[in-house]
Amino acid sequence: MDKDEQVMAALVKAGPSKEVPDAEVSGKEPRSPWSEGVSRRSFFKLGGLLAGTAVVGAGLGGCSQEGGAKVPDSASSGAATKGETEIGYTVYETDMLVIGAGFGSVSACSEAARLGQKVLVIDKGPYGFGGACGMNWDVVYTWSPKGTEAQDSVFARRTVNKQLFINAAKSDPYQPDDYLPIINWGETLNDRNPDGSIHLKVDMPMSQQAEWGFPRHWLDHFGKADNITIHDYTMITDIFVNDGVCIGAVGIYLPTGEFRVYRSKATILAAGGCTGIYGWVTLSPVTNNVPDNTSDVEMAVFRKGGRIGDSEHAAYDMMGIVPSGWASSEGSMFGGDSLDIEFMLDKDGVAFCMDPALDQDRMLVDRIYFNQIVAQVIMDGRGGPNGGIYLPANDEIRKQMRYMYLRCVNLIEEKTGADLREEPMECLIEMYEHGGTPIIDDNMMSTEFAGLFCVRGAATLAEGGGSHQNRNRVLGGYAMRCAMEYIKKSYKEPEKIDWQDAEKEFSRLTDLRTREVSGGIRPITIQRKIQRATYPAMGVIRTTADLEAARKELARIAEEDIPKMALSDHASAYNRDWKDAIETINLLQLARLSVEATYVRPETRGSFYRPEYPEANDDWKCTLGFYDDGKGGLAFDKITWPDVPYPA
Amino acid sequence: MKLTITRFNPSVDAKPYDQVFDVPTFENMTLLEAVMYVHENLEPISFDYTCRGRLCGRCSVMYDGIPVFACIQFVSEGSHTVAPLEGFPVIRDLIVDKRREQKAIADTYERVRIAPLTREEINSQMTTEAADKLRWIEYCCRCQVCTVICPAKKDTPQYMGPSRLLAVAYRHFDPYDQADRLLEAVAGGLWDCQMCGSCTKVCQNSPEIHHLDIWKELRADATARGLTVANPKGV
Repeated sequence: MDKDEQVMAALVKAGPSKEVPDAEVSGKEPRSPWSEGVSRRSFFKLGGLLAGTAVVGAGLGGCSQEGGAKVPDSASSGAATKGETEIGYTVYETDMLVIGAGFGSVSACSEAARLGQKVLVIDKGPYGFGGACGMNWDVVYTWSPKGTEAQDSVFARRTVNKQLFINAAKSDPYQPDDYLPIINWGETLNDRNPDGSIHLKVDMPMSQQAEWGFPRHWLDHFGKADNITIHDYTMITDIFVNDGVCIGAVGIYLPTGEFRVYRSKATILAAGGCTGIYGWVTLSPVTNNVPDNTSDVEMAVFRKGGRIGDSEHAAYDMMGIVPSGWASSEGSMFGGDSLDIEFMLDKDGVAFCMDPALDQDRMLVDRIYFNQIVAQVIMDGRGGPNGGIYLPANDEIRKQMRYMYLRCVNLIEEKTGADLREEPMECLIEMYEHGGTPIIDDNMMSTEFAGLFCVRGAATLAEGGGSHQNRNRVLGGYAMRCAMEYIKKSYKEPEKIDWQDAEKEFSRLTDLRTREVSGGIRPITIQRKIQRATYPAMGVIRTTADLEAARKELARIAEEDIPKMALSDHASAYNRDWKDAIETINLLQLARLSVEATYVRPETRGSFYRPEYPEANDDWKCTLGFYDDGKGGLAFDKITWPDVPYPA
Repeated sequence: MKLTITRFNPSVDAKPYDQVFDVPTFENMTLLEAVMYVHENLEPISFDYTCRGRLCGRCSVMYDGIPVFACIQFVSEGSHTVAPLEGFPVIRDLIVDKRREQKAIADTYERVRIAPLTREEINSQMTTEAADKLRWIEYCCRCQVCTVICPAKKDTPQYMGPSRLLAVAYRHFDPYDQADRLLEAVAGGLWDCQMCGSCTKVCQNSPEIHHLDIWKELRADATARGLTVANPKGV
C-alpha cells in the first residue's frame, strides 16, 4: 500500500540480514504521525524451538530421513543451535492495532472511522486479496429488520455468553444494521426488483437477506480512509506482553523477513477461523476456508499462558472435491445442503435422506441433524471412494442454484468435459468455520491479557462453531468501542518496557528458520501428517476410537517430528518453508486442543456427535478454557456464563 | 511433465534462473497442483494463492509465456514453463508485488459522493438496466492478467489499462456515483485502447466480463459528450 510504503521508507533499519534490499533502509521520507518505525537490536542466544508450548517433545534421537525432500543434513546429530546472534527489528507505534482485514476488521474500522480513532490494520496477505472479504464471491448479507438486538436473540440460541451480545446490541448506534452501511461502503447490491429497489432474497420479520454482495468494495473504502494505515503481507506470530498487559503484537514482514514490533495501547484480534487442520485434498484442507487462516495469534495467546475455548466446535457443510482440490473453493465448487436432500445419493444411487425413518422436515431447519445423517451414511460405508456422498447437478438443482455456484458447475464441465447431470459429483462434509479463540469477558477483552480484544472470542458463537459475517459485523464494531473505552479509562502507559518479550519471539523465529537437524523433516511434511491425523477425529461424528487415535498421533508428531523439523531454505525473503514451519506449530497446537476439548466432553454437543455419548450432558454446558499446565500437558477450566434474558 | 520454474530471490540472486522439475501428472491436474507437488516433494517454492477458484487472482503466473491463474490452468505432459507474472517486481520466485496497481484500482473503485446515500435514495436511484451492467463487472478480480497482455498498455504506457478502466466503467454505470467518470476514462486512455480484445481472451472470469462491449459503451457515451481525441485507436 502507498501508506505502507511511506511508513516503511521512514525506517532506519537495524536488520542483520544482508538480504533486505537497501531500498527498505532509506530514512529520508517524513514519518507518519501515527505510526513510527524505530529500529532496535538485541543480542541473544538462539534456541528453544517450542519453548512455552505444551507440545515440547523430549528426545531428539532416532532421526530418520523423511520422504524425498531435500533437507539440510548437518554433521552433528540433533538440533544445532547457533551461537549468540544479533537480531534487529523495527518498532511501530499506534494507539489501536487491528489484526486481520476481513469482516470483523472492517466492522471495527467502520466504528473507528465514525469515531475518529486512528488505526493500524495488519493483513497477512496483500490487502484486499485475503480471506472471505478479499475474493470476488457473491456473499448473501443477513440482518434483522428489527435491529441487531432482536437478531442476536435468534442467532445466540447456541451462544453461551449472552451478556456480551446484549452489551453489543445496546451500544450499537447503527441498528438496524441492514444494507445502508454496506452500500455506503461502495457496494451496489445489484440484485434488484423491477422498480430498482433492493431485492430481498429472504424477507421475514426476524431476518432479511440480500445477495450479490462483493465485500472487496468495503476494503477499498476503508483502505482509503484517512485514519486507517495498512501493513499487509505481515504475519503476526506473537502478542507483545509487558507486566501481564498486551501492549501490541510482533511478527514478520513476509516479503523481506524483517521482524516487526507493533506497540499499541489496545489490540483487536479480528483474524478468521482456522480450519487448516481438517484433512487435505491436493491444495486445501477439506474446507472452503482460506490458507492464510492458521490460528497464528490465537496459538500465540495459548503459548503465552492464555486460555483458548471452543476449539471443539466447528461448522460444516457439503463440498464437492471432484476432480481434486481445485474444486474445493467458493469459486469452483459444487456443493449441496439440506435444501437438496431429495437429490443426495449414496454410492448405490439411493436417495438416503428420503428414508421414511428420518425426519425430512427437521433436516430443512436443523443443519446439525442433517449433517449427522450424511456423516452416518458415510460411516456406514455407503459413501464414495473419497468418503463423500453424491450430488448430481441436474436441471432442477441448476434452476434453484445461485449464480455463483452455477458458474462453478459450468467451469468444472468446461474444464473436465464431464456432464454433472449424468455424473453425480462426490461431495465431502467440509469444515468451513472453527472456534479455538481466546476466552474473553463481556467487553470482548481477553481474561488473561488486558488490552487484547477478540472479535471472535470464545463463547461468541460457541456451539455454533465459528463465526458468521453478520456476527463479525456486530462484534467487530463492539470490540472497537470496548477497546476505545479501555484506552480512555483503563490503559496506563507502562513505566518501563521489557523488550525481551518480543526478542524471545524473534529468537524462536530465527531458530526455526536457521536450525539444522540431522535427518530433518520439512514443515510441509509434518503439516500434512497433522491434517491427516485430525481429519477422522474432527468431523461431524467423532468416535472415541478416532479421537484416541488422533490424540496418539498428534502427541507422536509433537514428540518425534517437531524436534526434527528443519527447513530446506534458510533465506529471510518470502520463505515459504519458514512460513510453513511457523504455521505447522500453530496447526499442531490447534489440532491438539480441538481433539482434546472433544475428548474430555462425555457428551454430544453443538455440531459434533459422539456415538458413545449420544446426548448432551448439562454438567458440560459450559465453555472449556484450555491452557498449558506448564508441565507439557493441557488443563482446562469450565467457564459458565449467566443465563441472562434478552431484552424484549 | 518437465516443469521449468523461474526462481529468483532478489536480495540474494544476481538474476532470475530456471530450474527444471519432474512432476508426475494426473487427470485434470492444475498448474497450482503441479507447483504444490514441487513444494511438497522436491524443493520449497515461494508461490501464493488463497481462493483456489479464480476469485482472488493471487496465483496469477506466466504459463508457457501466457498469463493465467495457476488454480484453473490445466497442465499436460511434455515440457512447460512457469514464471512470475510479467511487469511486476518479484518478491520471491512466483510471488510478485502488485500492490501499487491494485491500490490504484481500489482507489478508482471508491465511490465519489457529496453525501452518504439514504435508504430512500438507494431504492429509488438504481435501475435494473444499470444493475445488470454492474453485476458482471463484479467478477473482475483485479488480477492484472489483462493488463499484462494488453498491447495498448505496451504502446501507450500512460494508458491506465483494462482492469483499472473496468473500475472506472463500474462507477460510470453506478447511478450512486457522482464523479465525472467519463472524463476519468478518457483522461485514463479510453481512446488509447486498440479494441483488440486480448483482455477478454486472457481473462479468467470471461464468462462474466465482456471488455469490448463495455469499452464500446464508454466510447459511445464519451462521443455523445464530445470527449473525443484527435487520433483515437481501434475505431
